[in-house]
Amino acid sequence: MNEVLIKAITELNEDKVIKMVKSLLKEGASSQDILDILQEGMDNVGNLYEQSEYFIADLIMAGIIFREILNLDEMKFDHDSPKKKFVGKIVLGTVKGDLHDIGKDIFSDIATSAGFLVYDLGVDVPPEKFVQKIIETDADIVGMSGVLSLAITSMKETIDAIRNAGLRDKVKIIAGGNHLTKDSGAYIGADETTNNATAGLKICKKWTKKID
Amino acid sequence: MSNFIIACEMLKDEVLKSQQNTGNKDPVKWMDSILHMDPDKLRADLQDVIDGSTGYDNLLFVYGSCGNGLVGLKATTARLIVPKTADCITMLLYGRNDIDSIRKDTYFLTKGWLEGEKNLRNEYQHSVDKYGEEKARHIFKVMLNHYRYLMLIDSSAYDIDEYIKISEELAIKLELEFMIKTGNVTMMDKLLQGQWDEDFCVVPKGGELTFSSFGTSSCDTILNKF
Ligand code: B12
Repeated sequence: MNEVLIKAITELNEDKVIKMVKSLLKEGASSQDILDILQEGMDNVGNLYEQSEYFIADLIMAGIIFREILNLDEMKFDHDSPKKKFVGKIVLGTVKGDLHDIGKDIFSDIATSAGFLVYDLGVDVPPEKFVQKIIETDADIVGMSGVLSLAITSMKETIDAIRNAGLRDKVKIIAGGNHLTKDSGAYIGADETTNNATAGLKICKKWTKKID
Repeated sequence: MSNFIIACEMLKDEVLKSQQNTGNKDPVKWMDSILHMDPDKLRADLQDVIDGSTGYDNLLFVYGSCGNGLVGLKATTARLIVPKTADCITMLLYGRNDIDSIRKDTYFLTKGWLEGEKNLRNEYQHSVDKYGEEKARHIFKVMLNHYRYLMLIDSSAYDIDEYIKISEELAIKLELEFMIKTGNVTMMDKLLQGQWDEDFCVVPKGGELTFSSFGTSSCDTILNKF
């Protein structure tokens, strides 16, 4: 792996990262290679944040750099190519009463770059809105995000609403947030819970393979 | 009955005010407020304190669920008394029925939140120093994208005038509307006076605090688990 690039990401050196990624892409690196390197750098940023070295602002900066790279033409998932259809459709949102969206945005970005069509409903999303969007888009997967304690209640309400609308068997549901556990996942009734966006993406990929 | 208070440093002024209100003289363990950045670490550190607090009947927590940082705590040495509240913001705005609508688009400040190690002011200054003014503004646009108000809570526990000035200046930098609302330390008064009604979770020795403990339903703890 490209240690210099990983270091530049870890240090949140925006200009250097963009320059290096561009030249790697020119040299023929695939978008997946770049994503793997990015992920490693991001994990380092997350660790530094957990060790209280980094600020919330640094976490946000990491997100900004991440998004900038994903927006490079070479990195975009080529939906027009006949060989590449959407992997699946995800309705995503931070649940009712919660405004935290750093985690949701990270998941949204990596899912999009992996070929999912993501309908991001934003924050403080009421259960009805999830239901409406599932019907409208015929989505395969529902992704709920939230870090407040009350998010657990809202997630449960969202799944209850999906069930009441008769849609529970039509969608797989994944909940994300650093405080979620298997226990709370069972309580809210999600198929899976995760506190890691990459792990969550793997689960979604597994699901859509089965659906196809 | 002997009580030991375990409190977040963020709420120091409010706890001292409540002790003054109620004449309570129980010993207090102040927990570093930086712990709130990482609920897992918060839980681990609180458990250490519980495990080391022998010889008391009750451990009184001046904490909310704080991102489920308190969920999973085991009452190894004494009874645990925990306010059934999401966090210190809801605690300080106790009794206000407009709490849900206020929380929709507001970032809250108190003296404690303004002086904690990684407070919003430091976050901003750090961003300016590290990334420059323009980038810092971009970062804060993303961070506070869904926020409209910056609200100073007057908990009556500190000199409000000094912090109005600081908060107003911060609001201008962050492009938020400044507001001030009256809070209270009622929940702490009740905690310290032993009025542990439906607003509190009482976990008997040997029990464990679960995530539904903080729900509106009755306190549900796992008993005899260990
Ligand atoms: C960053 C942060 C903020 C930022 C948010 C910026 C933003 N745009 O989101 C700011 C500073 C604005 C903020 C504000 C507040 N916050 Co805050 N905040 C945090 C903090 C420190 C980190 C959360 C975070 O972003 N983590 C980083 C991300 C990357 O992690 P993540 O969300 O878990 O996401 C990862 C995975 O879980 C996964 N994932 C996430 N979602 C999804 C979805 C799917 C589908 C999948 C597959 C995966 C996935 O992918 C991500 C990457 O791996 C937490 C503490 C903590 N460590 O949790 C407190 C915390 C959540 N906040 C808290 C509080 C108290 C507040 C305030 C009330 C403070 C105040 N003074 O006003 C306000 C909220 C105001 C309100 N009206 O309620 C409390 C919550 C207490 C509670 N009620 O439960 C916490 C727990 C801190 C604490 N212990 O006190 N906060």
